[in-house]
Amino acid sequence: MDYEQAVALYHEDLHRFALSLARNPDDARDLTQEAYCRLLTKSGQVRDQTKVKSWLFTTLYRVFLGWKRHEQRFPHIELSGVENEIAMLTPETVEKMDSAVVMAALSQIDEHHRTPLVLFYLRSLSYREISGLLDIPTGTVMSRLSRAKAALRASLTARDPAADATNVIPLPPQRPPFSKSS
Amino acid sequence: MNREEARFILQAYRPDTEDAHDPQFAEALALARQDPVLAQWFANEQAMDAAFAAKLRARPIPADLKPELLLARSTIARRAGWRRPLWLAAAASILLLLALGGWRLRSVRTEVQLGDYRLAMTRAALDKTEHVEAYGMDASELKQWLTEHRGHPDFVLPPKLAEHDVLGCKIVEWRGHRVTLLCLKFDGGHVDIFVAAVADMPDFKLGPTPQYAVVGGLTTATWQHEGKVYHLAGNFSAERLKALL
Repeated sequence: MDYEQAVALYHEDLHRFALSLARNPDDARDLTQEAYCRLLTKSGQVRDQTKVKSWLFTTLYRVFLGWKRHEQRFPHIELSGVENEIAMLTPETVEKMDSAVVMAALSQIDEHHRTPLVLFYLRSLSYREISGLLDIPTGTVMSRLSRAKAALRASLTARDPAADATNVIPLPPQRPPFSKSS
Repeated sequence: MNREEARFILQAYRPDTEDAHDPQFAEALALARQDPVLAQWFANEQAMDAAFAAKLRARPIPADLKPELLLARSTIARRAGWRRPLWLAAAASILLLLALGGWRLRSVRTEVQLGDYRLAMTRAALDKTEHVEAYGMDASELKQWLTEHRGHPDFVLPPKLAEHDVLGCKIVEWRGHRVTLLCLKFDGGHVDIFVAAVADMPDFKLGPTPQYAVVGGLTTATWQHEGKVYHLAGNFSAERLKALL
């Protein structure tokens, strides 16, 4: 795989991932460019060419964390009060929604939960790779994913005037990561 | 495994991916095949995931992102030796030496250095956290600050560029050399001009005519004038920057 292929194959999903992290298009572009710049300048680190994709995702995420440490560039917004609720949205309702509305709801979820959720939907990385990227056990990835899904659905139900506000059922308490993969 | 445990595992399942071969999903999938209630929940969950994934992918990717990423390669790819076997690079180098002579290698090295400088300055221009260190100064205060911080107070800007107010400045470093960054108000935004000593960058081989390049989404122009290397970077079209020079 050469650089052009790496751009052609991965830049769209990387940009989507970056947008979900940064929550604004300018920073998403910067993050994507920085990841590819590092691929050009530090390609020696990618010894296994089959790992280019996960290397790019991991690098982009590390760059984001580095930026975040130094600035208030990405204000942290905690979503509270919805973690233990799951709304009765249907796939058809979601399909009718504007993607910008879904992205806005997604951006309201705190980063610890938003990141695994976006990686889940992008389907670009395996759970082992996501676990490595986030530096947490696979079970923790799944726990966060579960809570993030609930938060996203609850947030969208709150936005959707057609949704019946009483159609909310409680989720079971948050589970610990299951031991097999932790 | 009960139904709740299976749900917890299956909510993370992605069909047509490596998950299908992941043993941690096997037991939960088997249970879903036997339990109609779980199967119905799982089908709905999969449909919901597909709907959300489609929304995520529906967001447009900037049309100019890919060309920009490919352009970045032209500035630094030669140094990277990307995905090129070592023996091939060595053979290519020998052939270059034989065919073209050492002058050609020096030329490539010069080009790589200039590309590297452009990239480093673009990163400084994109740095939104500590973009400048000092701001709100008049011309004399600015020169004093630059003198005190071993910058380049004797810079000479093109007349049209010099008409714009200096918002702030800072000193950045490139390969141990000090470079002065001046941030100028321009067209509702700003442009950054980087000033360095030619003596610190003797290999650049620049002239008074600006060389334009797009790096990291910014349009840049680089030239040399009276012992200084000037590098202008801004999020504007080449035409807009040319109007300043």
